Amino acid sequence: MLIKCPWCGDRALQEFSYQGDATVARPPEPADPADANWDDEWYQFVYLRDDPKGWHDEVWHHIQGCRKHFKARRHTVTHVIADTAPMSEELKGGDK
Amino acid sequence: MVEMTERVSALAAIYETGTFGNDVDGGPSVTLHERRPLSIVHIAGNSDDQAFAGGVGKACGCALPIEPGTIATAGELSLIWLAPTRWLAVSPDQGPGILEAALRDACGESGAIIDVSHGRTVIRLSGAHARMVMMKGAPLDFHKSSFTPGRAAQSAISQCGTLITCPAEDTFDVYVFRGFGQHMWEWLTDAAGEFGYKVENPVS
Repeated sequence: MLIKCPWCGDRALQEFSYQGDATVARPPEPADPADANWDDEWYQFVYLRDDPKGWHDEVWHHIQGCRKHFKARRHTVTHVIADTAPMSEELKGGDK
Repeated sequence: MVEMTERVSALAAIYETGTFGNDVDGGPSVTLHERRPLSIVHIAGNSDDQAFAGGVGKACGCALPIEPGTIATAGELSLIWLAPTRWLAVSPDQGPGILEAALRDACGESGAIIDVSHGRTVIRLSGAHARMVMMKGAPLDFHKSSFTPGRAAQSAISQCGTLITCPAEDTFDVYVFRGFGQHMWEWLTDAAGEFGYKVENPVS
């Protein structure tokens, strides 16, 4: 299986490491940590993940190549990767 | 004056020149040698910053390569693209800290320049079957039309992170962290065994 690194191009899967769900948003940090919503917002952010069947936006790391993180839109059933993009850019393709 | 200790190759304990491996018709078709002594400097900075890009260009004598997987050269010095914002400058040994100081002087505060000469082991493979040995090692496209002279790629050989460059036709340099040097040497010589290989004295 080949994954297209946005910089290095098509490379073997073994050069990459999966880094998690790219759709979770970090909750805002209040000035005083005691005010944070630890039991709900932060619990969700740290521990809870959807397990979608279909297209999923993910963070991947080209750990044994250029060592850059990037986003990938992967289909969790077929493993087809519709698009990869630097973290600062939006993904295209798939049915999203 | 600070007394400098002598640099010792990571391969010193196992390095042996001669002809090894299969006894094939026409003699060994892979030649290996360690490249040393080298000056190797890791460079980090933003290529859009003229102070940085211009500084590196001035110190190295060639423009910073921006295209992924490419190498710029000036005489015996190579400037290798590693990643966005990361490069490696490699040249035959210029003396302790000389190349690093030249780059620092030229870049000022615009880049992070670190001498890693002591921290890398560089092995050169050449010959008719050098490409075949590389194909056994890393999951890269090593076809003659793809991995051409002037190309570089970081990948893994036998689970070790490596930088592989193609400085000339059928010639490859394999860079690994010093601690992986012996393992890489043993892996490469084992892989070259079927073609028969010759080990020459280290040269930069």
